[in-house]
Amino acid sequence: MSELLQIYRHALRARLVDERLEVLARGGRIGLHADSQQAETVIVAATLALTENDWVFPTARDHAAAFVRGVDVGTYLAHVIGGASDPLSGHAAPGCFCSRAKKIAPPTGQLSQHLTQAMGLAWAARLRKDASCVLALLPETAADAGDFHSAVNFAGVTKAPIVFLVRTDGSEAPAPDVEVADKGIAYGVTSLDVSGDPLLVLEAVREAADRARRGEGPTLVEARISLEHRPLEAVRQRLIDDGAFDEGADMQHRREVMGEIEAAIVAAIDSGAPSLDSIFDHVTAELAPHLARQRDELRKVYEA
Amino acid sequence: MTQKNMVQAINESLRLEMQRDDRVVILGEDVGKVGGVFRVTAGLWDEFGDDRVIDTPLNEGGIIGAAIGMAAYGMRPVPEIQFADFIFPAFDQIVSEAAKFRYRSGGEYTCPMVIRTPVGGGIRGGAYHSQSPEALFIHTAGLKVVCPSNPHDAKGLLAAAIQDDDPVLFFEPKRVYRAVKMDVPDEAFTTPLGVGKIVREGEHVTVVAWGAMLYEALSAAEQVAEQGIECEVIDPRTLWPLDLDIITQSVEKTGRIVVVHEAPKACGFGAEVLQLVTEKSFLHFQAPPTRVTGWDTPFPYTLENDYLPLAHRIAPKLLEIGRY
Repeated sequence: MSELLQIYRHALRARLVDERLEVLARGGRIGLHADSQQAETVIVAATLALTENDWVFPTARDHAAAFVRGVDVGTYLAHVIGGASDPLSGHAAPGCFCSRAKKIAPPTGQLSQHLTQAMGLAWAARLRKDASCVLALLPETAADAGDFHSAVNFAGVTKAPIVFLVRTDGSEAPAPDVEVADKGIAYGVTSLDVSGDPLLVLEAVREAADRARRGEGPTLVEARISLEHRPLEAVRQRLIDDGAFDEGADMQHRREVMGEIEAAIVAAIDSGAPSLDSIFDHVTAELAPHLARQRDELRKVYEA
Repeated sequence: MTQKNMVQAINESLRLEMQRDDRVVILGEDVGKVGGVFRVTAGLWDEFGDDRVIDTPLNEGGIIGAAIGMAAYGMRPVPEIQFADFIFPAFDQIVSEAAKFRYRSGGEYTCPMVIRTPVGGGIRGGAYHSQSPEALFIHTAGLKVVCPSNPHDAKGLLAAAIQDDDPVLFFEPKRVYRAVKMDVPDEAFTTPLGVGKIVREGEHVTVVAWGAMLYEALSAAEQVAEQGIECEVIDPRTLWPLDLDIITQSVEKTGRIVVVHEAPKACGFGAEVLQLVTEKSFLHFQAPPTRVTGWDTPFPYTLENDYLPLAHRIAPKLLEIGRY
């Protein structure tokens, strides 16, 4: 499968999941839902540039990255539904998926906070002589928030093996007339301004990750998405134009993914609610005495 | 066994833990060559080098964010915040991230780290070098909060905190740093988290105090003993999770309790201690559960000895409650 077709397939899966979750959210079947805002192709392309040993710090809109890392739709939707089959015990809002096995860090609800954490993990890998690198994903708005600046500054100082991938689409909050990439340069971090063309993003992140693994330090990549060109549809059109696209196979693939999504939702709902006690799980390694008392208090409500 | 002050005891504990486990790293502002603002990390950079005793930019949010990432990777970071008053730029990382890392990942990720920071007043430091923010962290689920009162406990509790699998706030009472010297074993040992200690036995009033205020409580207890009121003074050592049993057992004997802390009164940790004791031991009370605390003002520069709940403010309260 060509890299462009791989990008298309992963991005399409993310889009189809978003469309279904949007309906479920409107119907009150799930909580908050934050979609990918047409950034799927860029998220997928950047994540495809990683090896298995690398880490990704996504935002809550970046489920496409999880799919690239090999998370199946069933596991992801079990998390979104938050039932007994949720690997995160029903503790995280939709989108805040993580997996240590797949080296996907937990997304934050605080915009830029994951960036210093990503920098810290990259720094730790380097201190431990581990040649892996970290990809940190962020939207343009996160580059206005404090921890973006802390993270890029620390990365410039430590030369941690990290790639910051910021997607800009020109639709965001008020900002001075400078590019995000300029902010990276100000902190001594190699910074690239690339188009939202997913193959160019893939190439840029791949090179940046190679440099990071060689100990040549961090890179900030700004990928400019053109929303009016509808990135996912543009990739599809490009595949058609290249003459390598089988529309029948595409339709079949869509149907399969939609079937997977429906089956996953049904299975997640059928798993039932998480156990009452799970509220108190994973606060700390052991259940603290005050939490044991509170757990018993909650149990009693239902025993009566 | 040698005589050590708290700075020496903490320094030794850090050294032993770093020798024992090469995942333990120190990071912070001037913790390396300089050895920290209070010289608590002195000599460690010489022994362990740049990769394990790391000078960072002056950015507390960045320090704690980075430490979270290091912990997620599998290291055991021990970040230092120069003064607890400077912890607030990192408050979001501690409260929104470190404290919830295990919970919101369903146990996939953990955040084992010890945030060391000096607390408390009495050094003429004014509002930005004197505060005691423990209640803000106790209120946040997922954090453990420790405040040793002496060099021996400081050494053992710090080792236990570093070996713990969850984030620990380790508040070091700066007024005690060099003021108290005692015998401390030279070898490594741990003092378990969550276990309090009876420091003085008595039958009339239970007094709960920690950090620098423990000494004020003990001094007040000696003063009122001359007037026939015998206090039982308890040092919880770990503020959260709290050793509630050691306090309620004492209160069920004395029927009276006074909590002393430097932090402001409103929603201070004393309020929580008294309420927990009230729920469990209400029928044993002979007097109203009471607090002697800092005032609900910012920490003042000039009149800090009238802000702090020193012995001259504690003793009259002990008499009042003891004779109630």
